Amino acid sequence: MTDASPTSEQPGADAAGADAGASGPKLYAELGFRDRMLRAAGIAFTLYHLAAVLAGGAIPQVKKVFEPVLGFYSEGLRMTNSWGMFGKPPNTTHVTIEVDTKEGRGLVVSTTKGQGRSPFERVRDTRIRKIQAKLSDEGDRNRFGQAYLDYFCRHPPPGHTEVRVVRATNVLHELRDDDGNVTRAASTRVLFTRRCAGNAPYKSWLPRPPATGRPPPAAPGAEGEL
Amino acid sequence: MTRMERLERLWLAFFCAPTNGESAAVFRVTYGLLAAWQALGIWLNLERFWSDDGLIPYDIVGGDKHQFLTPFFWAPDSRTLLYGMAVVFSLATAALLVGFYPRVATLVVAYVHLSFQYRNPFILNSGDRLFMIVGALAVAVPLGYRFSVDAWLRKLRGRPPLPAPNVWGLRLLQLQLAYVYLNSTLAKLGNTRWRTGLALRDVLSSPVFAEWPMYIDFTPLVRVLTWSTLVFELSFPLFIWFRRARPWVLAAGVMFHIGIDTTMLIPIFSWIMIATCPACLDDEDMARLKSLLRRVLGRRARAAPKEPERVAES
Repeated sequence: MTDASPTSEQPGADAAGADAGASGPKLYAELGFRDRMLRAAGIAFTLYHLAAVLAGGAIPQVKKVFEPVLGFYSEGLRMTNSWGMFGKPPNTTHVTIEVDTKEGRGLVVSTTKGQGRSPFERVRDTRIRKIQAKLSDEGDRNRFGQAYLDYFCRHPPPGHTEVRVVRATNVLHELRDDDGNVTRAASTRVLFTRRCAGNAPYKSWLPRPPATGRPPPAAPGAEGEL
Repeated sequence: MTRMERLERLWLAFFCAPTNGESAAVFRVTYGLLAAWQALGIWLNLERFWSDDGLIPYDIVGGDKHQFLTPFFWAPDSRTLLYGMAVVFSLATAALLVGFYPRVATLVVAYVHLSFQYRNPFILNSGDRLFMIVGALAVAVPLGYRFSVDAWLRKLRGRPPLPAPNVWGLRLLQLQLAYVYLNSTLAKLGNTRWRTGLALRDVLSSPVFAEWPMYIDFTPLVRVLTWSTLVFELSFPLFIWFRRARPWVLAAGVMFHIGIDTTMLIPIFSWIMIATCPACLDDEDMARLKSLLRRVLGRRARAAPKEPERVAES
């Protein structure tokens, strides 16, 4: 598929149209065999793709019906998605990672907060918010939480030599109702902790890969957030 | 003319109208710039996000039934593969930007991005998914027909020009963009907070998503912001197909997303929406845009020689 091929500029639909001038592209009946096949393929792909896009953005019950036909294209190749975009009010909270090292305690080594950081840090860590905030969810925490904290065991912050304990802390912000009354006060809570030394050799805790395969994580946007 | 023939002519008029390839070329550059931004993000985080020594060891994601689609399935521990993927992504991005086999390049960009998505699905947001979908659909867009190394080489070698391409790929991108807004509107309309006009109070007060989190006490302002978001998102899929409305809808879209990117901490999504906007322009839109730019630049060029005179007078 290169741009040097004349038909590559007219994918499927208008292979016939070498002489498509003022009269427009030729009708199917006027095409030769090869061009008919190309146009049929183009039309078939277009209809299939549009059906997949519509089903991909639909509710799970509808998706399930079309799964046998569209599943690989939608979820395997990830060609569709639902685009909730704050369709539900955001409920994500900040999660910070703190470490205790030989030299000091409670050092914040990773945070989902973007405010007040240097432009370089913001560019580099732009995706940390997504992954680290998932640690506040028990399912995700069970799935990859220990591995996540283990990374910080293996990578001490600059100027420190040995990480002893890593903690994931949930920073809950204040919530107010429409009358301005506080419905949730600001607070912090430790989500889980990992001890780095001695009793946790690298990867020893990792689950064995399942024989049948795990379900993929929820598609981005499916929960109504970006 | 039979009903079937009429239907076919309608289909051909919509999907197979010829184009001069200019809007496709502009889209290629905007998408290529975004791919370069993605490449920077990949290089800055290669070890941390995607290596076996990183935040997510392969064993955690290895059970996904579609992992076989990516090279990581075959060599999950390989550093060479990891760095090779990043190099391939960067080279494909450069090829896309300059228009050297751009359709192959966009396919490579989409595939490598998909592979990185499988390797670490926990860092993804909607913008990543859309970036990959747009890249894959762009294979059907005449990306290298104008303003490209391919076109320049063709001219240099004295080859005859290619037959006029058609708008098929551009239409797929337009439909994709329209669907994103439509789906988003429908999802929002299903929620009471959006219908009552108070949803943006929640969004703008979230310290996780808002650049300057604030609780807006003035309810009429919240309602205006919330409902205008809905009006815009519903207008886009309805009016983008009409030439007279299109410039306004696109301008509103660009402003809307710049506004989101300025006030919110949401990576990539706004930029992929903006980068795909040029794909919505037809040949006449491009001609008008060029003439507008010429007028603006011409005015500046005429104004420029006056500068030294003023200095001399002062």
